[in-house]
Amino acid sequence: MIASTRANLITLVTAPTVWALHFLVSYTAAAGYCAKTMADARVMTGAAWPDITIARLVILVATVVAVAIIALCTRQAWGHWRSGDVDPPFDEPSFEGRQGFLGFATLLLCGLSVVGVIFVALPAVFIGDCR
Amino acid sequence: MLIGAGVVWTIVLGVAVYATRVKTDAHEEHVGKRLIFWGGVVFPVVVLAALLVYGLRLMPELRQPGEGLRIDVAGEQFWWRVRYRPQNGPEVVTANEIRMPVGERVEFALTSPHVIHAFWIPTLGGKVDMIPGRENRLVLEAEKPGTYRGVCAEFCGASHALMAFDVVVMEKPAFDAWLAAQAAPLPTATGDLARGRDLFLQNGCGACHAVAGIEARGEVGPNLSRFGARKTLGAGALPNTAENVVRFIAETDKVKPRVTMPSYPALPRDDLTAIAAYLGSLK
Repeated sequence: MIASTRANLITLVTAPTVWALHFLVSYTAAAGYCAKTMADARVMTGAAWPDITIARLVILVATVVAVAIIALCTRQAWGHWRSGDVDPPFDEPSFEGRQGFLGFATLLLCGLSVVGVIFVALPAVFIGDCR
Repeated sequence: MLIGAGVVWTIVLGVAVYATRVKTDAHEEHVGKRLIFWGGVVFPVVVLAALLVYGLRLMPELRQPGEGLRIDVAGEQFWWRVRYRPQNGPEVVTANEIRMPVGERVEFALTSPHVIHAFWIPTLGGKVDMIPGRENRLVLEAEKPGTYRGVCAEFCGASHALMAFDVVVMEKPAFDAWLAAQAAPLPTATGDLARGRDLFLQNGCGACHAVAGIEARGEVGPNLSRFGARKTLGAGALPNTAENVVRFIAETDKVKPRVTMPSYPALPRDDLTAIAAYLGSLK
């Protein structure tokens, strides 16, 4: 499970994994929905394009869930980083040093992942049909 | 976008000059950390987010449907099959040249029967792949009349580099007149031109090439109904002159390697010249 009293490799990769899954859900929601509706109505010039409200809602829910999980990861990583009261570059061969390193690296990955999730979700804000 | 790229480029180079020329000794630790946080984290995230939002806001506008005229283009090996589908009026089939009216959003439906090609008119817009089993849409609006060059932008075989086309952008009335004229019947060939037409048919050219009004209805190769009006020959391989047409028929594979059309080196020179004259008269 991702919730852990100690930082480890699983907690380290949780946020990027959430980012990857969010990308997968967003991509398949939009592509799958459009492929199905476009196949039903072979679109001619000037005709209305299928509206993708359902796919946008799926992406919205996936984004809220992903950001929430990453927020929890961030809080946990902050705790791991601060628990040993050790500062970078974390090069001492001690338990606190390792916890500090893993916690800090996880914290940075959480930051990267939340930016990634938001960037992946942004097209759904601006694009409202299957064109 | 270009302005944004210019600003980022200037800042990066400015920092590089600052670090190598102005202040060459080390920063204090807290200054370095602050620099990394603001310059390496906040700045790129904000700039990328702003550019992403700016680009995404433009996308729906770019993808609005066309204003009536639709042109189907299929990427063949190694030429372009072009079919005009005007809202009013008959369809017109041609090849290796595209004409479009200025100031109108023209919708292209892009397909390919066998391998992947890419349809690209650099002056007018980005390239779009032509993928077997799919129909990709591209809407282009030309702002100035003129002749532009289009190319295949995805490697598709030995003659990929010889797969180009001209795009002639015309004023709307001239374009409408041109399109209507394409559907009109061709004049009947007479005299020497009639001999060229007969040789064209006798040698079986009509099995692959269509010419309106005669017994040539093949669809394997480019439609030659208005061949004489095209600027190039063999999809941009050579300028369209009688001499080049003779050369193309006699040594097709040398002009365009691995093209489907066989060479006809055994045809007498006279016959080749007559066929070239006939094709050149089709306008």
